[in-house]
Formats: sequence, structure tokens, C-alpha cells
Amino acid sequence: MWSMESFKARHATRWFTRLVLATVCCFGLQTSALATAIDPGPRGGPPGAGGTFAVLDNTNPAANTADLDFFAQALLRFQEVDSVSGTIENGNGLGPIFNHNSCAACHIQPAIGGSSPAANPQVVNNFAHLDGATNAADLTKFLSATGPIREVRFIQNPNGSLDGGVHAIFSIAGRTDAPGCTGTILPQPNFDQAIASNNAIFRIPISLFGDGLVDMTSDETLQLNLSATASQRAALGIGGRFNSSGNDGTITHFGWKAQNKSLLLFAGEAYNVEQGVTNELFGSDRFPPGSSESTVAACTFNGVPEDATNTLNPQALTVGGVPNPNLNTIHGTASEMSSDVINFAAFVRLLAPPTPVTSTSSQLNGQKLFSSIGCALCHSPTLVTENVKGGANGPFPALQGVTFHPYSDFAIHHMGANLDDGVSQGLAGPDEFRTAPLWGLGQRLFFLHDGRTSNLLTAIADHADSDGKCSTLQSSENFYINFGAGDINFQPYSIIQFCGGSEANAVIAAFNALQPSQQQDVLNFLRSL
Amino acid sequence: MRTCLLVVVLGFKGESACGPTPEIQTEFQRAAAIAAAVADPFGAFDKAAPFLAVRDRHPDDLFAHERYQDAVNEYGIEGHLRLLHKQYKELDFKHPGDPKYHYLYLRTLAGRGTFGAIQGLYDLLANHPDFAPAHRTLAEIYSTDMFRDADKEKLERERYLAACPGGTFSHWPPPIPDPSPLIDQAALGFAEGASPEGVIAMTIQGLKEFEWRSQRVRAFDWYTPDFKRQDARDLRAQYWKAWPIQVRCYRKAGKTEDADQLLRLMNYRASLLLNAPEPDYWNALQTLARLYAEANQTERGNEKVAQMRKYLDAHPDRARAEEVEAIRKVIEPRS
Repeated sequence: MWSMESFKARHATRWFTRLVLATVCCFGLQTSALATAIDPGPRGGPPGAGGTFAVLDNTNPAANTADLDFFAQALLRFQEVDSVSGTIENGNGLGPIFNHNSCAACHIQPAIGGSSPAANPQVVNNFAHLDGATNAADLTKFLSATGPIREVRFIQNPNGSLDGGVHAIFSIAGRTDAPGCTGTILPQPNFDQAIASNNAIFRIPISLFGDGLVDMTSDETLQLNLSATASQRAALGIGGRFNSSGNDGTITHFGWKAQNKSLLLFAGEAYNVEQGVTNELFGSDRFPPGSSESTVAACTFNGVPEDATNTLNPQALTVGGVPNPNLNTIHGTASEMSSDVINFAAFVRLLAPPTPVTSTSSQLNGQKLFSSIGCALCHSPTLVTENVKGGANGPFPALQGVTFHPYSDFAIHHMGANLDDGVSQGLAGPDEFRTAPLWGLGQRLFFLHDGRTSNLLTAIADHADSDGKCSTLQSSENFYINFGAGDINFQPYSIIQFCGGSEANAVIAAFNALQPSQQQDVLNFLRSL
Repeated sequence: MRTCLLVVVLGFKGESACGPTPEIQTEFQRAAAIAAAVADPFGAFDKAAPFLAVRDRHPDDLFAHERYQDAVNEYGIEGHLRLLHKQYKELDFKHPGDPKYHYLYLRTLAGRGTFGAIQGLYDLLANHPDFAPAHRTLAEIYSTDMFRDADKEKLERERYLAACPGGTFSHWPPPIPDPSPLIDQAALGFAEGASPEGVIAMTIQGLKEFEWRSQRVRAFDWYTPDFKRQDARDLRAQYWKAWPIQVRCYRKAGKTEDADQLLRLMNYRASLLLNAPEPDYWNALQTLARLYAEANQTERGNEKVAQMRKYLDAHPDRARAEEVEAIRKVIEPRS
């Protein structure tokens, strides 16, 4: 659990360490010949990810077959495309505002379940005008055909209070399946204005590979893992704490700021926020703030929730693509009778982690350097799932007691002004982010939470900031913390300056101090993941 | 005697408890004329607005409220109906114990959660047995196809007429808009050389009108699941009529990228029809094959022919085999 005393001590150490390392950092940034180390780019060849585990239940062959079938069906559901009322595409409930119309369209690189693809379907599939849609806003400042899929969040509301929420890019206005809902009554947000006033931040789809293993890792393991390196981290000015559920205090693992407690919640929220589909977890249609009753009425087409448990089998096709004999009957598989969000969560839960190809001497050397310079203090190479779900008594017993290599501690860390996005989620402040799991990095195309770069070197560099830089901290929490080096008063909706810098500064300085060939080894190692 | 009691229960201020006053009746006629003049087929708010204005001029008049509700039911879709329900829930909460507002609230459930409305109306009558409008609404509900119960309808009708001799009943459910002629007109317009942009706009408007019609079905429980399924299928058929027109328009306008993008979508959407009732999937394949053949897209056309043959293997049909052959002949000489 988070401790005020350790927090104070850690920050006191951090200030001191940072002072010592500041010169090193600057020196490193200025003199190391970074230009000679080059990001080798996304690893080619077949996807090192996608699909499920070879075995899901090692105690019962019948259950194992059923589990594998469940995954196969859930995979199909993950690819379902939504239209407003299921009249154009089979999926039902798109909008009124949305960022995309299918889970798999965003989570696709290098395989279904991954992250943003090379060609942004938001642009190349002409989402703004799909099926008659009349979205007219200029999106070119943050979306491009070769850039990442993005969602937009606004930092503040027009009245200066904190926002932080997702402002969907598209609306259903003008679509043939949204008669009466026009762009006049349901306009897109003014993205240009938000960007010009630095009020807009971006997030890209997060890779989902292996998340089931993360879900099956106990809080105790995560805490022990974090504690094990506490002194080493402190020496480098690295803190780290877990985001947690405000209800039960347990660790939350998922999302860029580790804001989501479970895969099911994550799936339910994403379905609602990204696609606009109301479901049994998030049952309210999302309209832009301040929408009038008449707008809501004119642009509401379905009963809620739009996605729910099925009492009659709705699936027209079986996994094999053949007509489903149980269509519209009370008979069906767990997948068929379950809601979309249950299927999405099941798909992610059973989605295997990426397979690394670390084998060359350069990659293996890079792996050692990755640890020796301190990257691995946050990007933890190894964790183990436990029999926390009941072992053979629980679901998917083959996934219990599994050693896996996420390269993340799933804790949140202050990342300084370069990454600060002004948005607080749960305990995570504006510059705090979950340590991004690096598994599968070798085939990822866009890096950091906003997909700002495709270059690993830039991504690494942006982990650091200079100590003189301050982050804007905003908090909706109401508590008071003594930092040792200065008091910070967290008040509801307060906006304050935090001048702590990035916890990664020392490590990035160490990276910058490496010989170019060593840096290249690190890059090669990362691209082998 | 029952009428007198009813007047007392309703607490009306001079107006008849069994029907609108002549003055309000006149206002209804004026409102109906205004609503009928609204050209926008999706203008539910505009069409209901004159009735809302009457209601707002006579906020205590039951019939003004009912007529406004009827207008929303006649013109609205899910969102409007939900808003109506919300408005009357608020009024019900603002007038605790007032049977009129509770009745009006329950009335917004008719056609939306009709079993709940029936139960609520019986509960209301248990406490206010002389509240005649509840008998009328029950009789109207029991007269519908979906909730038909001749005995109960007769009973409730008699109870209402006992309180309100000569009282009239509405016909529920409200009508569904006629199918839009626009897509057929668009096809004709294309054949006669109308501008591609104009034809595409016409197909989009036509599809919206079909969608609206479908929304008018989907939002209510007046209709059976089978009826709704058939309606959804009819709607889909309209899309498959409109999309080929759009593809041809794009091609005619030189927008081949737009045409190909729509064709890609159509291919994906055709795959979703594999388990649809006959002949939806077949028709979709046939449509796509013809569109490719028209544009000399031989490779794509042959893919469709192959898919059609595969489908025929599983579902042999001589007439369809001849159709495939005919399409193949169109494609092959160019290949």
C-alpha cells in the first residue's frame, strides 16, 4: 500500500539524486552521439503475437476445448463492426459520438489485440463521411493516414474546471442510420481551438497482448516486485506507486495510467467511450457536454443498454463462418449468449503475450544493458501469475503459476514535463503514467501515450526532462501531502505546479552516456521483444 | 353520477372530463394543420411543437396533455419517446397522489412497456375506480393486435362509456410512415442521366426515410419480433438497392476511389448475410458480381463468381446456375 512516509522519503532522496545527476543528464544529452544509434524500426516477419495459449485448462480436456472455442468466438466478436442500430453492420449501438466502430480496427498491429496499424482507419476509411456522415471538423492537426489512431481528451472545461474526459472525434450526424440527427445539432468539438490553446491531449490504442496474465497477477506479487528494487530505484530518483480502486483499495492495472481495475471494466468503458455502445457496465449514451434535451432526443435511436446478455442466440454465424443452427433459439455457447463486453474481456484475458526473438549477441548485450542502466527497475522483465484464482478450482488453470515477461511493474511513475498530459485518472496525476509494458515493442509502430513518435530513440529521450521544468498537476482528490522538499496541497479541482521532473531522468542519462554501439544494442534488444 | 365523481376526482376547472372542450378541440385542429405542413420527414419536434403549445396554454387540461403525447407517439422515435417519458415522470413526481399526472405518466408507457402500463393503470383504478380515462386507455391497448383481448376491451370500453356516454376511442398504434419512394426514383433518375451527386443525395435521403420508418417500428412494443425482423430485412434490402446506385454514380462522376471503397464495404457487409433468409446473400453476391463486371474489374468479378458457385454447391439451383453463367460470360470475354 501507498505510504505517506515512504513517499516523503522517496521524494527527498529524489530531489537530492536529481541534483547530483542533473549535470550528468545534461552532459549526456549534449555529448552522446545518439545519431549513430538508429532505431532498426518495427521487426518484420510474422506477427510475434496474436492468438491464444496452447493450453488453457490443463486439468480437463473438455474444458480446455471449450475454453479454446470461447476464445475463437470472442475473437470474432472483437472484430464486430457497429452501426447505429445494427441495420448497416451487424453490431448495434454506434454513437452518438465515437472514435471508431470496431475494437479490432484499433487493436490490430501486428495482429488482432495489438495497437494502432500503419494506415489509420479513422482517416483511410473516411470515417468522417462513412454512410452519409457529415463530420466537417478539420482533423488534420492530429490525425493522418499514416499516423496513429487517436482519441482526444480535453484538459479543462471552458469554465476552467478539470475535464480530462474523452471528446469523441466523430458523431453519427448525417449517417443514413441516424435520420434527424444532423451536424447542426450534434457538432464535433472544436479541436482546432482546443489544440491551439493546449487544451487537447491524445491517447493511442494500447496493446492488449498478455493482459490476461497481468489480470491474474496478485496485488501481493506486484507490491513485492516493486518493493524488491526500492533502494536501487531510490538511488536513481525513481519512485513509483500503484494506482488503485477508490472502492476497495486494490491495485488497478490497465490503461495508460493504470486507471482500470479489470479487463471487464476496461472493455465496458472502451465500448462505451470509443464506440458509443451502451452496455451492462456503462449504460449511458455519451453526448457532448451541454447537449440539449432536444439534441439527445433527436440523436437517440436505441434502447439501453445496446449490448447486453442474450437470452436468445443472436449469432448468425458460427466460428467456421457457417450458418448457426441455434440462431434465435435459447441454445448457444457461453460466447454466443454473453454480451459483447464479456466476449471482449474474455478475448483479452485469453490473448497470449507476444513472443520475443531475443537471440543475437547485440540483442542479448542490449538486454544486459537494459538492466544495468536501470531501465528494468520499472520495466520489470519478469512476473509470475499465481493461483490466486483458485488454481484448478478456478477458470483457465493453465494460466496460473505462469512466468511471464511484460517489462513493466504496472506501477505509475512521474514522467515529467515532456510526457505530462494534464489529465488525472484515479491516483495518477497529470505526469504519472503506468510503466508501459514493453512486450511486443518490436512490432509496435507508435510510441508513448499519444503516439507522438515512431522512433524508439525519441521515445526514450522523451522519458527525461530537465529539472528546471515543471509539470502542471491537477487533482480532483482532496488530501494533503508533505513532500519533504515542499508541501503540496491537493484540493478538489486544484491546478498546481509540480517541479519534480521525470523519475526516468537518471536512467535516461545513463542511456545517453552509453557508447553508441551499446545504445544500438539496447535498441536492437527492444526491437526483439 | 359517475361523471360527476370523475369531475371531482380529476379536479377539472370547468372542462368536460370526457373530451376536450370545443375551444381546445379547435386548437387541436389548428395544431394538426401546422404539424401537417412540416415538410421535414424527421421533424418530430416541429410536428409535436404545436400540440405542446396547446398543452402549455392549458397545463391543467388532461386532453391537451393526451393530444401532445399522441403527437409524440405519432411522429417520434426512441429519443423523443424517451424524452416524453421523462417529462411525464417529472410531472408525476411534482404532483404526488394526483391520479391525472400518474395516469399521464403511465400513458407514456403504452407502446413502450405496455405490460407495465396495463399493470399501472389497474393499480391506479384500484385506488381511483372512477378515473374514466384509464378505462379508455386500457380499452385502446386491448384493441391492438399485440395486446388484443376482446373480453377485456369490451369491459373497459363499457366502463368508460358508462362514465362518458358517447365517448370516443383512439386507434392504436399510431401509423407507420409509408415506404420512401426516393431510392426507386434515384434509380430512375440515374437511368435518365440525372447528375450523380443529386442521385447519391436522393439515395441517402431515401435510406434515411426507410431508417426512420424502421425506427418507428423498433421503438414500440406494438409490433411482434417477427414483424420487426421482417422490417429490418426490408430495410437492408433498401441498402442493397441504394449502394449499387451509389457505386454507379461514383463511377460516372469519375470517383473510382469512392466507388471501390463502397464496394469494399459491400463485400464485407455481404459476408454478414450468409445466414440471412434467402435470397439475401445470393442477391448480394449477384449485385457485386454485376458491379464488377460493369467496370471490367475482372479479377474481382471472378472472385464473386467463384463465391456464387461455392454457394451453389451447397445450395444447388438450376436457375441460379444459369445466372452465374450469364455473369461469367459478361466477365470472361474481357479477361
